[in-house]
Amino acid sequence: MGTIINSLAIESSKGGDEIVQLISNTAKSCLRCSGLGISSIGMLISTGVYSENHLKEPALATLVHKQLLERNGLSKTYSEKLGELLSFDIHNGGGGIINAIQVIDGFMKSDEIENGLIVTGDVKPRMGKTENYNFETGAAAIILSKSRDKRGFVKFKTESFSEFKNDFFSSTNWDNGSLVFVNKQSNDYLKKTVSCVVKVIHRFFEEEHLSWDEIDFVFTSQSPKGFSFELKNKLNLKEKIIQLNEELEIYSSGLLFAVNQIFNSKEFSEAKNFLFVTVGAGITASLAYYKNH
Amino acid sequence: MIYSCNIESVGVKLPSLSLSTREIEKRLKTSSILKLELLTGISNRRICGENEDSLTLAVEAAQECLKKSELKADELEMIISCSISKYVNGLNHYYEPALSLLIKQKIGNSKALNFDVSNACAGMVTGVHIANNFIKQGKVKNCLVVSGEYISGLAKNAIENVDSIHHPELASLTVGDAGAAVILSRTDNNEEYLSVSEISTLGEFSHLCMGYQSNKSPGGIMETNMKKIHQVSIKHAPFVVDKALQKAGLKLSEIDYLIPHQTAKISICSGAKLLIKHFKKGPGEIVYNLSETGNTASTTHFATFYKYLNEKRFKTGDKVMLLSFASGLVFGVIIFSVNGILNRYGNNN
Repeated sequence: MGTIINSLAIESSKGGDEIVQLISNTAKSCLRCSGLGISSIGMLISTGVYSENHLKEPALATLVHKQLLERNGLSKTYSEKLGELLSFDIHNGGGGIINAIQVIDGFMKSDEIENGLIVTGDVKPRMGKTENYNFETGAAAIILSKSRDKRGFVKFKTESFSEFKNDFFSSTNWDNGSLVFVNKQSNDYLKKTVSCVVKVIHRFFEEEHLSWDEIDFVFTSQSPKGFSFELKNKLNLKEKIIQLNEELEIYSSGLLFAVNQIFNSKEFSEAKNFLFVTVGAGITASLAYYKNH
Repeated sequence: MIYSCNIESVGVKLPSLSLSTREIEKRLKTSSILKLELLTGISNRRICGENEDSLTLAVEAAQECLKKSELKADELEMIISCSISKYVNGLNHYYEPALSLLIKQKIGNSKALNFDVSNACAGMVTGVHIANNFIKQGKVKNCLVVSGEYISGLAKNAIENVDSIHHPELASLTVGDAGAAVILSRTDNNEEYLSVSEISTLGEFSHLCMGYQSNKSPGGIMETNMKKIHQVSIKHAPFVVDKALQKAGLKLSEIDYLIPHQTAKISICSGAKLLIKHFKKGPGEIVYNLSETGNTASTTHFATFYKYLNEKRFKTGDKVMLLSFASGLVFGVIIFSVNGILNRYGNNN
């Protein structure tokens, strides 16, 4: 029994969007591709980080949940299905997506859910002043489903390197009497993220007795800018690593943008094993190993 | 193999300062709001002073929890932070790194899997639900679920804005700051495991309570349709409780202590009446713990449980139900028995 990728959708924009609408549109596309209705989803997790109005509650996932119910005309009758869907957010910067996959995998393995929907995305905060926000506006959604065989996500590993916690941080402040949102990244943050990820990959391969020969494709975060290109060079990954435009920095949805690049291709369906890699503030590096056959 | 999971220890940190409801009434710009203390049952709430924030409250609650635990900080395998407010160094809201990472570092842990969960006032209940799943499946042996809520900024902003009893920020006048932490751990003891953890969302009502950053002053703004939220919660509470009880194989009357989300006296009382009417017989006690702390958001259930532990109210084998209602709209129920934990809080019956 495994947790497999059922469907995937992404959406990019030039900006000016509202996060709930952007993510909901992507989730609707994802549901459409899967042929599933919202009533088949047991868990909905959002891992998006930035919103236009610095939303704090409710969980962003619950607002997406509402949009998906309305799309299905279920908003008036869903009360009768109480207890069938739990929505909440997981926040862990660029790595929240792998934490969310791990959580959904757990609830599938314990037979509590059959399908899980993860949504993610970021838009530039527009409340007050925003400094150094350079991420693209984008959103992605992925549906994970239970498989009856051993395909799917099989192993996870997350490690954090808190000695680098000040190398990337984002927060609001009122230092000058008005609201300012600041995003700060050290000059050698990219180098440090690559170094941390390489260490974690080596330890993961050793613990799980894996080698690069067994990995057909590597999908990574698309932040910091140039991360997948540096990782490719450092590990000599050549075509194994799926790359997007080096100049684009897509935040919490970057990993799914990379998967989407080949998701509907023959290369993807014929590949045996994938490695998913995320890195984010902390520095936190997360890995997920996926068996496709 | 499926393992069992229990509540191994609990810790709470209340901040240093106090603010009375009478003081809030005096500061309001309207005289139309009367008897706030009588309606809410809240006389005082604790509020953060200098050098206190979401992070310090969470860290100190976690340290208190570890003092009562058999585990050392570096033995924790998973840390989930569940705060709605992520204020660090005053009212600066931290997006990244995750608050769980900062807590992990402050308490002296280097290896735990950490992430933040956000689910409004049901945050800790959601964290416990996830931790229970990870422990049951043997993915981790233990987990610290922690939250620090520095939300008194909501009340401060509401004092400036509320001009009538119907104002959407009225509920913000009930909030107080607190930190709470709970360690869940694998157990072989069949008499003290967490038997039910049920949680679900009625997304169609997610717009009824919205909180976001204020752009006029530090802290947040929370707008609530109190009447509608209360109606929906009251309507669905019996079904949620019934489902959890069925799963646990229990009747409501077999629950010794029911700890609901601590919002306001009037809401808790009307909810209690409804539950008793629906189930014919109520639990041993429906716990009400608002008077000195107010509504402390995601920390409310474990802050109340901790108070009762320290007051030595429980006896071995008592069954406790935590009942959560939160923006989203989230309904959660956790049922567990208290046994070994009592000794660590000086209660040997």
